[in-house]
Order: sequence, then C-alpha cells, then structure tokens
Amino acid sequence: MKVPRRHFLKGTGAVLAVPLLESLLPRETWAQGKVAPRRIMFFIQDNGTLRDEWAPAGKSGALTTLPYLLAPLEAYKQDLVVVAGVDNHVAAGHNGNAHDYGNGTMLTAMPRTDKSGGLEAPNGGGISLDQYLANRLPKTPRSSVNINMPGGTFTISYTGVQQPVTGMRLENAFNDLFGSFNGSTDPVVLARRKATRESVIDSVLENFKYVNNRVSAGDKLKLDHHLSVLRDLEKRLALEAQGAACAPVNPPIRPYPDAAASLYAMAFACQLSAVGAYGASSPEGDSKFPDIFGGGYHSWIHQGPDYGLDPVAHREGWRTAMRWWAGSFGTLIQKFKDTPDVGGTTLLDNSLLVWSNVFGMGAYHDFYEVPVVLAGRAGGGMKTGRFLDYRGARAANPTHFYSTQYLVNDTTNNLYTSICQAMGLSDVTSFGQPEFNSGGLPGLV
Amino acid sequence: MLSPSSPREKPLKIIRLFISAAIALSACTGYVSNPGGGTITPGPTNTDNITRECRPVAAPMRALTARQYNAAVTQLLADPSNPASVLQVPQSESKFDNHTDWVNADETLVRFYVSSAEQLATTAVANQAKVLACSNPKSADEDACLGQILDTFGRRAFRRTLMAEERTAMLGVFHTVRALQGASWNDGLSAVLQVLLQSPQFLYVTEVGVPVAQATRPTSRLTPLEVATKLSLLIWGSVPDDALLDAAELGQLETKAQIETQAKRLLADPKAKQGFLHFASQWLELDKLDSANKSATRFPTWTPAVAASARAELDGFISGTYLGGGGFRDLLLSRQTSVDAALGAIYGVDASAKTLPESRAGVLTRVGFLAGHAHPEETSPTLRGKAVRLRFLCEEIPPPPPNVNVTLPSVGGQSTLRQRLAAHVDAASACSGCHRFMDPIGFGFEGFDSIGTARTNEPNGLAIDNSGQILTGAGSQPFKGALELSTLLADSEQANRCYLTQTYRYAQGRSETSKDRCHLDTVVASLPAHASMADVVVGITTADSFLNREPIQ
Repeated sequence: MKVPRRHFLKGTGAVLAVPLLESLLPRETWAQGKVAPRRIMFFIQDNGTLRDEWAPAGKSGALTTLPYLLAPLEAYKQDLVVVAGVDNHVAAGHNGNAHDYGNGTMLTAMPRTDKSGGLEAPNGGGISLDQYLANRLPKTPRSSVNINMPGGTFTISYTGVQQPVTGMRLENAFNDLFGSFNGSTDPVVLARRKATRESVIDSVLENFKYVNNRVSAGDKLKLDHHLSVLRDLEKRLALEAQGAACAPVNPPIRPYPDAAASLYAMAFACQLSAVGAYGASSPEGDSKFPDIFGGGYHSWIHQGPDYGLDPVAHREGWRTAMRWWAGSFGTLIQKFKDTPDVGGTTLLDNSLLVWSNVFGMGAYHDFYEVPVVLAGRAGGGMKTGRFLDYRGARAANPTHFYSTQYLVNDTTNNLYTSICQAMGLSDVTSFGQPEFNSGGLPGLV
Repeated sequence: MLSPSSPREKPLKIIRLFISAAIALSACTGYVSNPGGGTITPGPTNTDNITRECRPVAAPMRALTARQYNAAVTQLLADPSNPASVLQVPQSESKFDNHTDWVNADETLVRFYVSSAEQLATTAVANQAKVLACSNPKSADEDACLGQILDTFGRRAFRRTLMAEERTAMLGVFHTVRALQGASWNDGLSAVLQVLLQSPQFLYVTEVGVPVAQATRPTSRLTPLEVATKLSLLIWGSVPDDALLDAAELGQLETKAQIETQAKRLLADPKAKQGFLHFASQWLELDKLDSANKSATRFPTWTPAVAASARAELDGFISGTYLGGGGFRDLLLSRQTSVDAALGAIYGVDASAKTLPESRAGVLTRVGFLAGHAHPEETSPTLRGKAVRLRFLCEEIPPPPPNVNVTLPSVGGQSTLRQRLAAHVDAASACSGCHRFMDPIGFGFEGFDSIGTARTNEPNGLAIDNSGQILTGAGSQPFKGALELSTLLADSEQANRCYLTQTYRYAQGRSETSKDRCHLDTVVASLPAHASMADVVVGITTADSFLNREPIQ
C-alpha cells in the first residue's frame, strides 16, 4: 500500500518540505555533514515457515528468481538479501517449551540459563541484538521501539539475562510515541513543562532512598536498575523535546502490517529512535488467519503442511499464509521506500529491515534453517539484490527435518555479527555465545 | 473438607492413587528441575508439621502489576482509564501475574510510569474539586491545601502516612514548579501528584517487617501497614482503603482476630468480586476462551457474542459461588447458572434456566472451560487433561522435548479423535511418557465438542467413548465422563489442597519453596471441614506464613 508522505508527516498547519523537517530536527548526525543515521528494524514472525519450499533455487549470487512463497516481494528484489541456512545454534538440544526457548535465544544468541522453559519467567540468555544496537548507535529519544502483537508468544528482546523488555501495544504506540508532540508551541509553556518534568524526576530519584535502604540486596539491585533507567530517560526526554516539530498524523490501527509499517517509518523519519523490534502477527493481531483456514494458526501449523484428508489443499493453506507474511514485509519495505530521509535519500537507503522467524520449519518448531530476508542498504552497509545460501551439506537432503547436526559457521551469532558490521560497528567480531562465532557470515557484509 | 479427618465416602483410595500419580509424574518430569515450583507430594497431613514451627520464607519486593496499577488509580483518583493496559508486560503462563519479583524496570516501563503519571495528574487536576480533598485554594492557603491532599491522596498512594521529610520534599517540588514563569496552583499540584504516582513507595510493594524478639529462629513480622497492603492486594487486587490504613496505623491490625475482621470486611466489599475473578481467571485459564478460535464452517453459531456470554456465565458462577459462601466442592459440583438464549441453546436450556442440565455441573463442564480448552475444529483431550493436572492436582507437565515431531500421524478413513491420539498414549511412543498423564483424563471430556455442546457421536458418526482414567504409577482411577471426574476431584484431598495451594501462591505473590510445605500443612489443618473459598482466604491471611518472613540479611 502506497501512502503519500504528506499523509503521515505533517507540520503544524502545513505540510513540511523535507529540508524544513531536517532543520527542525537538529540531531548531531544531521548537523555534522548531513549524514543520515543508520536504522534497523526486526520484523519477527512466529511459528516458522514451510522450509522445504522457502529458499530460492540456484546458488549464492545475484537474486534472480524468487520462490513462490517469496514472490510477493518481486517488486523489491533489488532491495533484498535472502539468507538461507542460518541456524539458531544456541537453541540446539534445549529442553522445554520451544516458544519460550526460541524467544529467549532468537535475538540474544545466548543459551537460556534455565532448561525447563515455560515454568520460569520470560528468560533471555543475555542482551538481545536490538538492545545491543540501541546501546551502541547514537543516542535518540527512544532507545528502541518494541511492539509485541497480542496473542503471540513474543518476548524476544532483553536488556540482559532474565530482563525482558516491556512491549507496547500497537493500538497505543502512536500516542505513546508521538503524544507529547501535540499541544502548545508557546515557548513559555514548553519551558515550564520541561522544568516541571525535571523537578518531578529529580524528586522521584530522591525518593528511591526511602525504599532502597530497607530491602534485600537483590531487591536493591532492581531498584538501582530502575533508578539508572530513569536517569537515562531524563536525558532522552530532553532530546525528545527538541523534536516537537515533527508532528505525524495518526496512522491506521488496522490492518496491522500497514499500521506497524507507518508507525516505524514515522518513528525513524522523525528520529525518535533508530532501532525497532516488532513481534509481528496476522491480520487480526492474534495469530489468526480466519480467511485462510478459519483460525487457529498455531494448532494448524502443528498439523504439518500435508495433513488431513486433502493434503494438497492443506499445503496450499500454508502457502497462502506464508505468502501473506511476505506481502506484509513488502508493505514495510514500500513504506520505507516512500519515506524521504536526509539529502534526497529514502528511509530504506539508510535502514536495514530484518525479517526473521523464531523457528525454521513451522510444523516442528525447530531452530535450524531459520528463514531470513534482509531489505535496505543500511546507509551503504549492505549490498542488496543477492541470495546467500549457507545450507551446506544439508541442502542436499531438505526433507531431513530432525537432524541435530547444526553447522557452527552458519549460526545466528555470525549473522548478528555481520548485521552489527553492516550498521557501522566494525569493531564487532562476535555476538552472543562466543564459541558459536567465526567472525560473521562469510560474504554477507 | 480440607481437613484430613473430614469423613468422606471414598477419599482414601483416591488419595493413595493420587500419591502414586505424583511420583509417576516426577518420572515424566525427570528433566524438569522445578523444586517446590509445582508438585506437592500429597498425602495425609503430618501432624509433626503442625505442631512444630515452620521456617519463615523470604518475601521478595514486587512491582504493582498492570492490573493492580489500574485498580489503584481507579480507586484513588476515580480515574477509569486503565492506563497500564497499553503495556505488554512479559509474563510466564504458569505463574500468577503478581509474581513480579523478576519484572524488569526497562525504558518502556519507566517511560510509562512518567507519561501515565503526567496524564493522570492532568485529569485529576482538572477534576480536583471532585477527586481531591482540597481544591483551588486562595494563594495564602495553598500550602495548607496541599497538606490536606498529602494526608489523603498521598497517604493512599504510599499506603502509609508520609514521613516528615517526604512531606517537606513534596512541598519543595510544589514551590519550585509554582515559581516557574506563568505557573499556577494547578501546575504545582500536578507536579506533586506526578511525583507520588512515579515514586517507588507507590510502585513497589515491600514486606520488610520487624524482627520478632522471642522467636526460636530468626523471624520478622510484617508491619500492620505491610499486612494491610498484602490483604487488599489479595482480596481486592487493589490497594488499601482509608479504613484499612486507619486500622493499621491505629494498632488494630495486629492480632489474628483483628486481621480476620478486616479480611471479612474486604470480602464483603464489591471490589472482592473482581479481585477473586482476577485470581480465578488465571488459576482456571479462563482467558484461553477469549483467544479461542472456532471453525466457522463447523460451528456457525459460535460468535464472539456467544464466547462473551460463556465467559460471563462462568465468571458469574465462580464469583457467585465464592461470594455466596461456596467451597471448592461447589465450584466443581454446583449446577447454578444464568444464561442467555444463545448460550442456553448450547446447554439445551432456555434463557430462564437457573440450573444446568443434569449432565453438567461445576466449572469443568461449562462451555467457557470446554471451549477454551479445545482446538478450532476438534476437542483437545490433551489441553483438557493438562488443565486438570496443572490446575486441580498441582502437577506440572513438561512441554514436548526437542526435535520431536509433534504433529499427529494423519489417519485416513473413519476414526475418532481418541483413536488418532492413540500415538500419544501408546506405551511404545516417546509421547506417552507425559501424554498418558493428560490425554486419558481429557478423554473423559469427549462427550463435549470443541464449543462445549454435549454429544454422543463425532461428526463422522462414530460413537463417542467418554471413559477416562487418572493414570498413576501404580494403577489408575477410572471414571466415566467429566461429571464423574468432577466428583472425584471434589472428594480428593490432593485436589482440595491444590486449590488451597493456588490461593496461597497468589496470596504470597510468589511460587512456593520447599519451606512452604510446612506452612501449607498448617493452613490445611486450621481450616474446618467444608471450608468455603472465603474461609480459605481468611485462613491463609491469618496464618504465620502470611504475616511472617525470613529476616532480610
């Protein structure tokens, strides 16, 4: 869906031309030589794919023909890098609920500290890639924009071991992100608001001592963490106050892919944040695909692609759902293409969109050959229009679903190292669990 | 009925079988390390445990849950906006939402605290004449007016009277903001309200206590104010009211009799209904109904409105039983109902019916439970059996192991679901290690389809076999149909104790540790036979386990 820029980037009383928008957002990076910041968004699908027909045919090289499941992305072929054969190696041999284990490992590339799954708190093995990048990229009003759709099982982002990131609901995210942009432009009012906020937060920070000196050492750590997050937030809120001229228009709430695409494009274009993670969901936001098979996406996936009295029709249902996901990613790409950025570039030129999945083969809820599609040039960090096949020996036996043979070089650890490098962090040579790293996926960056 | 000495017709046999079940389950759960987290070895209460002093347990600090936050601001500011509903707080499915000792105060959450406080304060300032104790004072009276607000709203937010230095700091914030260019009373007031709503004194529940001098082992007793908060969070899911804070600060919440008096007062308040439903919806997994999809082709009469009716009927039954003095037994066996026409059609009764048909009773055979524990087209003996194990017998079932094909083999031709699930319970299959503890219980529910309609045949015409069994290590307890299962559970000491355990977990805001078994024994022994669910709440709140903690090192 193509939405003209003016539909969602609007100044007070008039549509803003791009140069004006720039001048109203005096970010460090913009001021210093008009270099656009690099942004990254993770578009995370749940419940796996149809692995036996997901990857493009042929060998690594130029991306020429998309398979049927990815065909809805045909118009964006030159913007894509299709990466086949990446394994979530740290999840190998897990015990416990595959969803919990997948969520805790998928973006952290660290094994969970518990092995039981399900019975514990949402548990990441370490910091997730989105939060790591949020810490490393230039400071923005929001360190990251995390939206988890209801009904999914997403708890993919962690600030550290067993520290799950609270998600926003898409329905409320617009007000949460842009609500403070509305209202008075009177400098006296704005100054008073800023000073009030500072007084309030300073007083709240002081109040921690009344609780802090009474609780156990473990609880004190939690309060100290809250305290440091609030201190950091105070700085981010001050940054945010500078961006008050970027006044977007409310995006639609449904359908969800369109709404999410608009929201992330706005948040990035307004430079509220440079990092996003979206626990994506189906059109109804609740892992339902009523139009395809009457609901129950998860249990339907569990039945396998060739189930029931009419296996051909059943597989066709899978295909339709997987193509719907591809189309949703296409919506996101289009929105980023349509959104202007610094110096005549588009948001897609300066962003990396990462479409990945908690699982590989949906029916088995397993962790290898996780489908990964990248889009965007990451400000020159990523060359697009390519297919990279890391499947190696197993590609010859694609029906061998239950292999526990994970190929160490093709890990998510290496993928994430390469992504860090593409985002300009050339010092990163390892991500997550050290022994599953070999410096990045060869040839990706 | 919670007492081991209560006379029952057949409990002994069942108890023995259930003991074996727990042992067998731990074999199934061989790779799940969950010490104290779920499986309580049942059995006759050890009287040694009752007479000896139980060891006190640590009480971790907890954050107000999203629900508690919403309830608190509704109660304190008459603001029904439920602001915390915007959050997607990560949660573990098998724990209660108030087990928040691990909650991560990350940027999203802390930012919510800031922006929500700003919004709540703006609304409260606009409505100050209605919601605050003092409003719009003359400039000479501003300090006194703010003092009144700190004594009322401030005290309710911090759940205690503010200390002198806290008051001084609040007045300081007020004057700082009041002095800004163009600022008014409203601006200063708004700032103070924001501080109160963002402060850790409001957002965190601490149970620190004071050391007990003559205890045989190191013990701290919660302060009366800490007891007040724990009590209201349990019974109302919200913060204390003035009467409860008054009682605590006037020394009237110290003896067990005084605590019982307040607990009963809270139980008689309308807020007790939502408080209990919030517990029960998690205990009985009622929210599964809200996200249950049903095939439109197979069940054309199932609509969101019918699902809402089924939920309302279940909520009404559960809260009515609780508030009407009913016990766990009534929850499983009472046939009271209130339905609309659409839901009545599923039950086969009309909208004026006050009782369910004789084939049904209690929660397990109601549409809300049955439809919530089923797939879109078919039933799910696994989900239904698992719910019984987890929620009524307090036995954890681990998820499927890795690299196992969890898809069922496709069976062509005519077969029942029971037959297709044979692979789950066939002793030769890897699935049977755990599924034999779930599916055979769930088979007993096969007389009800995916939306809970009674049936004798599957859609393909094959006859339903609704015989089930509760499998144990040593044998099995057979039963015929979900109604007979409900009776077995109502008579089972393990199930009765499990009910108490679930309430206890919610009351403590944490899972039980190995030390809690002794405490649970004590509470069980303190309750009369045929204890009502309200009796269970009162029994828990007046036990040492509720009032004491292990001292902070």
